[in-house]
This record gives sequence, structure tokens and C-alpha cells, in this order.
Amino acid sequence: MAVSMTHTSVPDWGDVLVPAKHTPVHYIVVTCSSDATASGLPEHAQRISSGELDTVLERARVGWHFVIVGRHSHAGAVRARLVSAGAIDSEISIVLTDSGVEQERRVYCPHCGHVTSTPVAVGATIACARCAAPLVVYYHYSRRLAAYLGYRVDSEDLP
Amino acid sequence: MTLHLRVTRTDALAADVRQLVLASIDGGTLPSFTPGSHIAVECGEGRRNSYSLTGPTIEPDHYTISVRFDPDGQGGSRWLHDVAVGQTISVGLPRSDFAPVLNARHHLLIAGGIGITPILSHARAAVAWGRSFEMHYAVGRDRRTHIAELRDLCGDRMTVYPGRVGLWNALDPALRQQPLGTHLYTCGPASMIDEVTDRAAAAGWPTERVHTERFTVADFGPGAPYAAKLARSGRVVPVAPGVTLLDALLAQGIKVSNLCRQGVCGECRLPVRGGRIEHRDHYLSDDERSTGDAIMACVSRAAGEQLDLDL
Repeated sequence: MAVSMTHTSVPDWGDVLVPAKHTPVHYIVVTCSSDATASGLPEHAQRISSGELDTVLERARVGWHFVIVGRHSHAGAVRARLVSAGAIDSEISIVLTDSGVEQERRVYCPHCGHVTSTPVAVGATIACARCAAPLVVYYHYSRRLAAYLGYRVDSEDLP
Repeated sequence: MTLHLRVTRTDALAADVRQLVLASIDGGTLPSFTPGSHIAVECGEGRRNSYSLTGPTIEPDHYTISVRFDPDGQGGSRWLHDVAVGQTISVGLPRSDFAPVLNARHHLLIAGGIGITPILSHARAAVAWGRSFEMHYAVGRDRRTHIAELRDLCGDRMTVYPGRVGLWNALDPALRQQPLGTHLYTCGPASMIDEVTDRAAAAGWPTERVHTERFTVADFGPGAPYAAKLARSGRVVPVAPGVTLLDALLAQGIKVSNLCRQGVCGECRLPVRGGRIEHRDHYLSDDERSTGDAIMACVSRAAGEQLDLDL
């Protein structure tokens, strides 16, 4: 794929905590699974699971900072939930617990609307788990859906 | 583009504040604008001041500005306090670097003194579109302007403070209980804006949520002399202490478009090829400052002996 990945919408989240540029007064660490941990997390943070997030967001205030710890596919979904609740990028840090080319990725099927989660590299092909359409995992990531756009591998050949 | 507008009405809103209502000469609609916008008004020979628009924003049949008389100014506000109904004045198109963030959950509006003018426009839009907001307005009892209109618009969403102390006492707790997704907008004297931004930062607010509209800038002193080298033509323009880069270039016949001359509007931005910059403006972002490839010629200076401009 002759594409410079820095110019795509593929997220550049890493496995190291990047501190906020401002000084938040309260930290919430959202862990996406029970085994999700990372070093260097803020000491006095309130730790919650992603299942508790909606309850916490009901009383969330400006001045809070959210640190998401988890796998790429899960962290992206938590981030989307935070943004829909009003958070902005500078209030969210993401620490990935998985890495590598074949991370688990969520892939959106534009033919049936289903999102398939599977370990796959960007540019590879999967079958949609619902409609079985053969989908190329495109380097187009929707932060709202927390999913990559898939398109039919044979879309140019179909009548 | 310049609009030629007729003064259709004037009102004294306070001892030193005069409201001017301006309409097009043919009675037609004027360009719409985003809440918080201002216009540059020609007020006397070669003089232009910026004033916030306080009236309706969508296809308005008039623009309304409130002009505070500044006895220490350069005469622009005096000229506008003397202008008569029926007279024609020239104004630029509305501009804004202070628009409401449309996906905000809540809007926290903070005004001091005559800084109420762009904030009034925000409140009017918030009411019209059903946006959640609250208003904090610090103003001396004898300097209150637009107060009846504000009470109509805001009701119990507005708190008026007779001085800064009351504002700070209310603001500190208010800053700590804003729902996630709130944006803050403030306009007033520079010292008040600085304190609002400091208190917001201390309450953990990221700068992206804090929006400021400044009409005065801090006094940095005259600065040291330096040479501005025009890299494309090879010309060298000396810039003396107390003279702005903008004035030095204009004096040499080099055309630089400019408007506010206060480092606010962004009109006089010039590309820089080399040399360190002492940024004194309120326009460039932190990232743009550290990149160092642009200077606001009306206020900022070289930090060294030479500045290479891409001109």
C-alpha cells in the first residue's frame, strides 16, 4: 500500500502514557479488561472498568482527565463514548496493551452495517462476520464508530 | 470589502458608552455573522477601531455597536461619540475569532465591563438556539450597559457582580462544577481575561475550552533594535526600539495588510524564514509559535539582531 500512514486517519496511539499538556484536577483510569495494566499511571486516579463508564460520565466535570488502558479495538470504542459525552482530545490519553501489525481491529461493513472484530493488518482482507462480504481493511478509521472502513475486495470488478 | 453604512440612531447607554445603530443606505440586509464577531470601523482620518456587534446575527437590517469613550486613546472613540445621526461611516465585513463551539454541552459566559458586547451576542444566540448557558457579568453599578436586555434574555442564568472580588468568589466553585463538554468564553479588560484563564487552568481546564476576546494588549516595552531582511529582494529594513515591524515596513513602502494593530486579528501575519521571534500577539497558537515560521508584524519583534522574512 503506497500510502504514508501519517496522512491517514489510522490512529497513532501507543503503549506509553503521554501526559496532558494542562494540569487536570482529577484522573479517571478506564481499564478495558481485568488484565489491562500499564506503568506510569497517575497515582491518585480513580480506577473504573469500561462497564462503569456511563455512570461516571453522568457526573463528569471539566478538569477531569481520562486515561484509557486496553486493546486498540476496545480503547477506540471507549474513546468514542467519551467524545460523545463531550470530552475533547486533550482530555483523553490512550495506553494500548496490544501492538503490532495484526492487532485486533473492528472493521465496519458498509454493505450490512455489521462491525467485525478480528486480528488483522490494515490492507488485508477479511470476511464480514454477518454477510460474508470479502472486505479489504482500509486505512480509514472512524473515530465515531471506532472501526476501520471495509470495502469489497472485488468492488471494482462487480457489474 | 468595505460597507458604507448610515448612522440611524444613537443612544447613551452609560456616561461613557454610546450605542450606534448602523444600516445600509438602501435599507437592504447586511451580511450575517457568527456570534462574537466584530467590525473594523473607520473613525476619523486613517483610523480604524474594532467593535463587537451586539445585535441580531442572521440577515440583519442593522448592525449595533457600543463604543466606550477612551480618554487615553488615539481619538477613534471620541470621533464615534461625536458622529451624528444621518452621517455615513465605513466599516469592514464582520470577522470573528470568538465563535461559540456548536457541540458544547454548556456555555460559561464571563464578561467584565464593556467586554459584555461580544458576550451579549453569544447569549442572544444561545437563547435563540436553545443552548445551555450561564452568564457571569462583573461591572460597576454606574457602568452597566445592556442590563435590561440581558435580564430579558438570561433571566436567572445571569449573575451580575459589582466588582471583581464577587466574580472570583463565584467563579472558582463554578469552574469546578461545569459538566464535561462545557466551553468558557470571556471578554473584558486584559487583566480580567488573564485571571479568568489562570483560574480555569488551576481548575484543570484545557486551553481548548477557554476562549478569549481581547480588545487591549499588554505593554511589553519598546524592545531592542534589529534588522528585518527581506529574503526575496535582499532589502534590509532597520527596526528601531518602539517602532513596530509593521510600521517599519509600511514606512519603506512595503505593503502589509493590517487591521487591529494589537496582535489579535491575524491580518498582518508574515512568513519568517529565519531568526528567533519574540511573540507578543494573541493570535498564533503555541504550536505555531514554537515552529517560528510566522510573525504578527504589528506587535511581535525579533528576539535577536536579525529576522529573515519571506518577502
